Amino acid sequence: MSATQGAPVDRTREPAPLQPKPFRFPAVTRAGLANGLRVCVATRNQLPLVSAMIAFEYGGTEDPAGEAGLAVMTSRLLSEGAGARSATELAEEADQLGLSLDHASGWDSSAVRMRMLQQNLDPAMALMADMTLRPGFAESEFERERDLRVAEIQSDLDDPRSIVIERSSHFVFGAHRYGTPLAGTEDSIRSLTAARLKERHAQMYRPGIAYLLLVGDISADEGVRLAERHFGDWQGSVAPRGAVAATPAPAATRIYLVDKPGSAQSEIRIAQPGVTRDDPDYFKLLVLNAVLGEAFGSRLYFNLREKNGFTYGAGSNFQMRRGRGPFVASAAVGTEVTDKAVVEFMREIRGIREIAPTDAEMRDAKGYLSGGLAVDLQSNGSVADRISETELFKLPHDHMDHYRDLILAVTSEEVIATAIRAIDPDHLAITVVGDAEKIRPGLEKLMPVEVFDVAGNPK
Amino acid sequence: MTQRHAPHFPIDTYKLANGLTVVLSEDHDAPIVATNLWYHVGAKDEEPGRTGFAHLFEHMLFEGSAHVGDKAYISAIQRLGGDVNGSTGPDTTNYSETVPSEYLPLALWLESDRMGWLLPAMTQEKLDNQRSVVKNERSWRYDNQPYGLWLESFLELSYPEGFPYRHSVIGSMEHLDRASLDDIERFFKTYYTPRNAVLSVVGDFEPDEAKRWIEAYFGEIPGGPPTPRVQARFSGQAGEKRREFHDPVQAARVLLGYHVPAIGDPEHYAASVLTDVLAAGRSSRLYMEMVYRRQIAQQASSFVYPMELTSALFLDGMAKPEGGHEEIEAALLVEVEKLQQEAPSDREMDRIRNQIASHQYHSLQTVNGRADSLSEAVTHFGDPSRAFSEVDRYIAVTGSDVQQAAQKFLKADNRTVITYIPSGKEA
Repeated sequence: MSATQGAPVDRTREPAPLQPKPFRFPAVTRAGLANGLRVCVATRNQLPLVSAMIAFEYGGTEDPAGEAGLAVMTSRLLSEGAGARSATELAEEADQLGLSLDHASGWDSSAVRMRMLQQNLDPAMALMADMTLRPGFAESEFERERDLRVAEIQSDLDDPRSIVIERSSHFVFGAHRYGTPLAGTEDSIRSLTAARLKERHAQMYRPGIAYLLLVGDISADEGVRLAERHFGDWQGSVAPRGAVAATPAPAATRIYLVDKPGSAQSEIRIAQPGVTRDDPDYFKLLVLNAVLGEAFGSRLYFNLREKNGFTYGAGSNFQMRRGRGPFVASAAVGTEVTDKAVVEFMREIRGIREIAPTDAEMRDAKGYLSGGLAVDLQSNGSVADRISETELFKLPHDHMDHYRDLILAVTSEEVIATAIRAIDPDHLAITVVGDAEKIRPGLEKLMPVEVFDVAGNPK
Repeated sequence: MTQRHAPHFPIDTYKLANGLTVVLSEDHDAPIVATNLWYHVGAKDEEPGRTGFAHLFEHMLFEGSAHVGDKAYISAIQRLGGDVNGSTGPDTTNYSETVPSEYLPLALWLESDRMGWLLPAMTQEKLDNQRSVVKNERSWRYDNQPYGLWLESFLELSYPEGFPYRHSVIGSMEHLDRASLDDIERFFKTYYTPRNAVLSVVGDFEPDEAKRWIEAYFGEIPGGPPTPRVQARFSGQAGEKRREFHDPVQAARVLLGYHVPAIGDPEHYAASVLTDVLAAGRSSRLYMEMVYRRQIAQQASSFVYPMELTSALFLDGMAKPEGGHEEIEAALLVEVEKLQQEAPSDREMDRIRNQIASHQYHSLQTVNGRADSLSEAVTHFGDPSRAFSEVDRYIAVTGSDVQQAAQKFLKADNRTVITYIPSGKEA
């Protein structure tokens, strides 16, 4: 519909879309240095900005038993003195260059990310190379960061959202690495030493398992030249890591109630081992989750927020890792409706395996996933994240070009079949953090309840 | 210091006959477009006994209007893969959508319908449902969060009875219980008028086409009565105020709040840069001194809460679990004194300016980031070009301006101190 001056539009009907314009994922030039470092450059030069990332195929999943947090602490120390720079000098230089700087480990990878004005590219890459190749791991710097990490872990005990995530992981995964926080526990962090971090860095931060991404106002030639200049002399590799250990499901669905007296709300997190990132049904899983609990129109959101007013927001997700990260459905709900909310959660979790998505649900979920690429990929950093996923999980290089078509091909029957395979309502850990005195009686009417304090001790 | 200038984005501004200000900024880099609508009304415009109403009202705008179905606003955008947002502040209420560019007519239809045809679709049931959602939001964001009530507490303590900033945006749940459909109608007719709004459209569109649609969708909405403006003037705080929370938290925390000039005042820029000297980046003073060198804090920050009648500036230090609040307060005050006694060096100011310039560029990467800046600039300054030139005002602040701002505003009698003391650790 096209409006002309003086002729009012028909506002009783939703206007039809104009002719769509294609969106193409930015072209990525890939190159490799002799030392094995992979280099990917995507040129986008509307603004004089560049996002850079160097990532390693090494993450918290590889932390040895008793050393949870080793990968996280190792990456955390990269900024605390490197090359000829003290920690203070490094911080001053990053700020002088106006860099936004982030260095962290996830379950599957460790990365240093920077975004910068194009004019500061060379000194910024020099800083990145120092942080990555030549971090100091001085004893005093380590002790300070360790003590800070311990303080953060203790302060997290105040935050019901932190508590429910940590406890839920424990109830779902137990002794598996996924059952202990990525960033470690007070005990595991206290067991680490500066020497141990230094050793781990020397072992894992090698070009053979690394890739450098440059996105923004930079040409492919310039990117490769910068990579050679700052990372060319570096050597070494790491044996390929093995598969992630299996993650058995909880024996039966039950409620784990974590007592936090005086809570103004209850945090509910329902979880079980989910799927891996290389699951062949990846696109079906995306559509399934969009219907169940991702967008505002999803079943969980509609039921718990819009229909029942139990919560400010409810949702679900599959945390896809190399191993089977959790499938999670969660919300913070009013104390007095905690048991009712659990009932509604279970209704929708069972329902997604039984009630085929309607045409409208399928249309909305697919539109949500496929239409938004251009919206999601506005910043250089978001483009870099997509390229990083391609590299890390060894996805086909052109997979972003087919993303839209593969989403649109998913059928309602496939969603049901995938839900039956990927979600098991009889083996869920339902973790609730709230005021036990008020919510325990209602929950006990639903199923067996075990009660703990916030530190994890049975009550 | 290399002078950097913001990149040039085109700006085309005009008004419809009903008073709606329209700002267009064309950009064909990606096939997307942002529509961004600011209404010049916020929590400060609420009637006595109705705190929290402006925010509840924002929720009602997503509940459907005469030609758009119940609860259809958000799903209409999300099913295209678009982003949709609403937010309420002390002075303004903002709505935005970013959509694939073929859906610009849809976005304009949605925004115009709730500006012109909201009331026919309003029901008691919708009001009750969103009241319940907002109560959950308050619990989730504030009441069930450690340290969640510090800002509300600052506002109550530091502004006089009756002053329009004395309450939080989320407001009182008792007041919300009293909100009626009559309140909805009165608020809508008073403030949700074309003359009290600015529409910014940024991204991939053809200007002539976009102008025709904007006229077609928004042009027939009546302009409405002149918008009342709160006339209150803040005459300053008479003496230090203090409040202690004895809460079941692990770590002590101290917030120092000071009154600083309103948005747009020349001294507002100095106050903002002052907080950057204290807390922007890891080389900033609070981090270096309290977290790095002395290791008494796990976090330290400083920021301005910008408002249009008067603003507030905060210093915030969180102790380690074993540390005390006295030490944190003293350390924050030492940094205040240092700034009062000596202007930051050129080198330090350079570092701050580079961070400000870099941050500005990054905020321009998204079409809605630009649209938001344009709507903001029209609302506060009546001049959209300030969306891209405000950065120059921050960069022009000198070390001596920062020192003078510290001397003038960071004084004890202009201060409110909020202290959290872990209740489990008291004797």
